[in-house]
Amino acid sequence: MTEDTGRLFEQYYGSLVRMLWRRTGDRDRAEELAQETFARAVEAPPNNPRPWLFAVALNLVREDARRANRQGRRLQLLKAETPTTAPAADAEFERRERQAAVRAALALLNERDREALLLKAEGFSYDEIASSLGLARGAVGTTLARARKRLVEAFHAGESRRHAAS
Amino acid sequence: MQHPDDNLLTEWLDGELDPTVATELDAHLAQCTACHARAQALRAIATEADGLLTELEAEAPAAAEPSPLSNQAAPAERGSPVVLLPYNEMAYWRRSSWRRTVGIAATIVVAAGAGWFALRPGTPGEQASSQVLSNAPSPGAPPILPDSGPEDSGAFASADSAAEPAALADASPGVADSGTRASKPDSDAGRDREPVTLAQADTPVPAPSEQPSFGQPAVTPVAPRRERAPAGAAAAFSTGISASQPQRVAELKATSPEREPLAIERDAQLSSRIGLDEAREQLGGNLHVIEGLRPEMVGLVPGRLVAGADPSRPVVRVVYLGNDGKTFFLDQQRVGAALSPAPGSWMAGNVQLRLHGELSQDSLNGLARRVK
Repeated sequence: MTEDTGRLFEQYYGSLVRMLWRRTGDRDRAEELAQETFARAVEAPPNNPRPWLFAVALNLVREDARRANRQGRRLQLLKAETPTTAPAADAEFERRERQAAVRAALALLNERDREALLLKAEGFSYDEIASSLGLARGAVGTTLARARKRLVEAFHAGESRRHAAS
Repeated sequence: MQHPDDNLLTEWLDGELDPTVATELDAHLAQCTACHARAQALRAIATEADGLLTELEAEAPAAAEPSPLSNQAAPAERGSPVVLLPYNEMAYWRRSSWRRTVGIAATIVVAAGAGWFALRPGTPGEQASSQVLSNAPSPGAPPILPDSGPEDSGAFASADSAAEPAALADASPGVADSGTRASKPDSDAGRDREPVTLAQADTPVPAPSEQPSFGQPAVTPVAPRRERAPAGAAAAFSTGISASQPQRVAELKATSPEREPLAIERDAQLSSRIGLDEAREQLGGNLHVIEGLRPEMVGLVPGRLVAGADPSRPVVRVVYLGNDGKTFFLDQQRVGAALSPAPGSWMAGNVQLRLHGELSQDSLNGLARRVK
């Protein structure tokens, strides 16, 4: 064990939850997955913790998504995205709409592109992204360039549809 | 140099390119308008993509708030309806082995606290409990054992020391001030103990109405995986605050701004927190700090979010928290030697430094002179 697990928790928990929340759109699930990730780190302390933690977390997300598909839980998650409480103010409503649009655009990316983007957003270096995703270091730039372009295009396409419908 | 492909340009934009190649590419881009335009387009897309992800970030930090108590206290701050659902603590407890692990530690802390509580001079059960203590590995509880000096006041905190030894022990002089004020030496139990630090005060001490009774193990799963809660309980003991002093706890909480580390991290716009090694790697040398102040945290901020910084590289941001909860930042970024510092910044070697935040300009100027 190269680093104390408590210190790892202190250092990476917030970042891990943030990434998982962006990835899943489900706050509770993000926290659970982050905790499960750290539980695994306690059982098998990693040598290179940051890429390890995020790689394990992303694997858990993938497993979770497969399970959710089987159980039809996605419907619940989509429902959770929709404000169902008291009517939000216009600005808040608009903010949530945009967040839903960003999340929908993110969901259109392939797994690798999406994960590369999320890791980069958490400040990962190319080496760490390559290590976490099992990519060649030289492919990270291409992956990121493609992922960014697709995200932006998917977002604008979604926004166009939304405005056309409203 | 040949015309660069998107991979090379993206590496350059992200500050990941080898410095030698980056220099060659700089020269090429200065001459080749087509490549320059492509680089600009890629930068625009990268900026927009990052901006979109940042929009998700607006809701994310709240997810990481470490205390279920604070979750319940501020439901209105939540971004998603999901968080408005009742928090099922026991379901979490059953699901998570991490929580169990931390919960066991919390139980030890609470049990130690209950023992200390029962053994206060003049309380019933002193004799029986003394026997328990005499077998304990840390026989240093000051109110009970006459040989124990003030230096043993951390006996109960010892159960917690594995989790956060330095965070509880260290504090900058300035930060310690407010904590000391918060902990008035008006009780025998607290007089000889370490002054309360803001780091301690920052831990989510339950409000009086939520204050757990340390004699009731039923409340032990206090935010099990959320490391701050057990630390807070132990901190209360090490600072002379017991469960019988909810007023002092409330006072401590009232005088300490509610600034959870993750809230600070969010306010500081950190994309990630880093350690000293990574900071040195980013800067190509030692991290600059303000002499006499203890940084709250160190992290990276995308250069494009920082005024006057090179947008293609991350900025190392040292975050400080003042006595009144105001944050201020010492930004530092390795830049080309030929560059002159941006307005409000200064150079130390090839590192551009800038001090900014919620303090007055006079205060910032004074602190800037202490940057080492």
